[in-house]
Amino acid sequence: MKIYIENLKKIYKMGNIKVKALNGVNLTVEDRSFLTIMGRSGSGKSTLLNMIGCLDQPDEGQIIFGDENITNLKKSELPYIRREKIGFIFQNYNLLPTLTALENVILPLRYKKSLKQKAKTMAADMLEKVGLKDRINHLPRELSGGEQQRVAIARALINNPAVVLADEPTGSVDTQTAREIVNLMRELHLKNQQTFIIVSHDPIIGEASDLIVNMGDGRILS
Amino acid sequence: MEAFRSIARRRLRSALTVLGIAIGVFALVMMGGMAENTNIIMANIIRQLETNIAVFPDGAGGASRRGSVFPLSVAAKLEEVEGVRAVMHGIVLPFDEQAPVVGYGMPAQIIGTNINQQIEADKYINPHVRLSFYRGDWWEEGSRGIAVMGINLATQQNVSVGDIITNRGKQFAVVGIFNRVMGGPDNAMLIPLEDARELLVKTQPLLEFIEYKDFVTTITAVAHKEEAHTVASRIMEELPHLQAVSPERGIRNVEQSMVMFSLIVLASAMIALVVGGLSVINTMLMSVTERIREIGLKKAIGFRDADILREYLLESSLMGFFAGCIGLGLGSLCIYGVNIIATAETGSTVFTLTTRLALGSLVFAVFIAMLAGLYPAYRAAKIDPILALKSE
Ligand SMILES: Nc1ncnc2c1ncn2[C@@H]1O[C@H](COP(=O)(O)OP(=O)(O)O)[C@@H](O)[C@H]1O
Ligand SMILES: [Mg+2]
Repeated sequence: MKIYIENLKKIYKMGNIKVKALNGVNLTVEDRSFLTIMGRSGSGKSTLLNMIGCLDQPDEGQIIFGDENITNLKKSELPYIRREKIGFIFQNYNLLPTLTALENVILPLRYKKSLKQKAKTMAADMLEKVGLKDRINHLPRELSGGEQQRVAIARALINNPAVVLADEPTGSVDTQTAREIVNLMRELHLKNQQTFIIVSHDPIIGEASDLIVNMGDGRILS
Repeated sequence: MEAFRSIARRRLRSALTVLGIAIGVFALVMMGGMAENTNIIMANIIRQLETNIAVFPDGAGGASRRGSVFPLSVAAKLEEVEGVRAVMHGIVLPFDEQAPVVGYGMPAQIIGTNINQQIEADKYINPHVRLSFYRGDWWEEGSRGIAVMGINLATQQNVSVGDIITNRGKQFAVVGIFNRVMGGPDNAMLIPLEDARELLVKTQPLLEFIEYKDFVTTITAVAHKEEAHTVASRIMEELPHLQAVSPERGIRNVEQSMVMFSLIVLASAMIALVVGGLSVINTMLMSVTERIREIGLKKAIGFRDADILREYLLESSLMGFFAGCIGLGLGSLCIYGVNIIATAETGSTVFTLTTRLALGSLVFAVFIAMLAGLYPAYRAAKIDPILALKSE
């Protein structure tokens, strides 16, 4: 899915102080690309990713998914976009501590009635694909950081999203594990032909990317 | 189930919260059980009253005023009044000479009656409160010094068929014991009318000098319950020297006290339950704060506000349900235990756990917990996923 981003602006107000988190971002992400957004801390990378991920809406500008303008949607419609089209991967995995690996992966399908029966098999398959076949019934605390991130990747991909968004996915693991995670994402990207947008300043990710975009002060620099 | 695991995760806190509601449910079950017990007795008293028209000679004053007696002859023409199905007369006096100042339940009574009229009148009474025998039977007509007893009074006095019971210095052979009807007869001893007269004279020696010897303390005309009011008016019209009191007023008094009693008892128990509910609000709010990242994550992967709301409501309802089961379980045990003791001591039960009380307590516990969970659940549903995912 091709993504057009046009003159995107987002201002956060902290009392009297206004922070221009996004100050007119223009970006086109080609379908099936593996893109990394880099930039200094506070440059607006996460804010941009959140807008693309429909977690928040911009003050100005447009985001167009394929042929659907998601900036015009009502707030109540956003969860459906997130559920159907987007997969999230976070720096700190964000697994539910009381759920097993399998249950964490199933989570995005919980309210998809059509998949109720198949959900378990799908999740098990997905865990196998990320190399955790024998960790299916483990709780997050019984898994290493790298394994937890693999579970999180499986969860992000279970709904077969058009776009996978990752915010500093290697930020909490060592270099060796980071390399494994990047390879896994890259491999899944090639296999599933999904668009990956990754926020990171990890050079390992940069090396693996098709394209690197630099941000600064709420704008795309290059 | 995730809701179950979420509760299990904070074991101590959840347990305390559940305990809080459980205590409320326990209070509701106990207090409600007492109210239900009283209500059943009251309802049966109404069933007994509903067919009975109390009759007095005009000027004898209100119903069963202590010590007022009148000649049986005043009721002679009563049976001819249209609508009167049977006429009963009798002598009622307290079982204990020194009646206790305070006591739970109905005071025990001695009822002097004529065996034939008793059997006759029993045909017309509401079948719910019709007398049947647990042991023995009625006495033979013309017998003296003989008694049949309600099961509560018999238990309390520790007598059974074949035993002798002494009252006011006079001995009675117990020949029958009624099955429990949850009403007045459970605490009554029925004896031949002449014996009752004798006992009454012992209590009030001046009666020796009364000019008529056939005195009674109550005359009751039995009618269809629907007609009771009309028949009472007709009695007064046709027999102007009589005063007939239809059962309505008595029933209304009983009903009012029933409602009042139930209200007071249930209200106090519900306060306990509501206090338990407050702890649910606290627990759930803490749980929302603790799990803010999880909520943010769920929203990020596409859960709607309504999904989050539902999950939290389910969790609080589940706590309410556990608490309901615990409170109901403890309450049932306690009721069972106390009733065993109370029956042994006084012959009567103190609590009745009805189905509606059991179900009502459970439903109310779930309802309160759910209500208490509403605000925390709403807070959870409205959490901004971005801020939630950033929080530590
Ligand atoms: N919810 C918010 N309220 C106020 N300011 C915010 C909020 N979110 C982000 N910001 C500000 O917006 C700017 C961009 O933040 P962010 O997109 O997180 O940067 P990055 O991910 O590149 O480090 C920062 O200055 C940050 O302080
Ligand atoms: Mg960031």
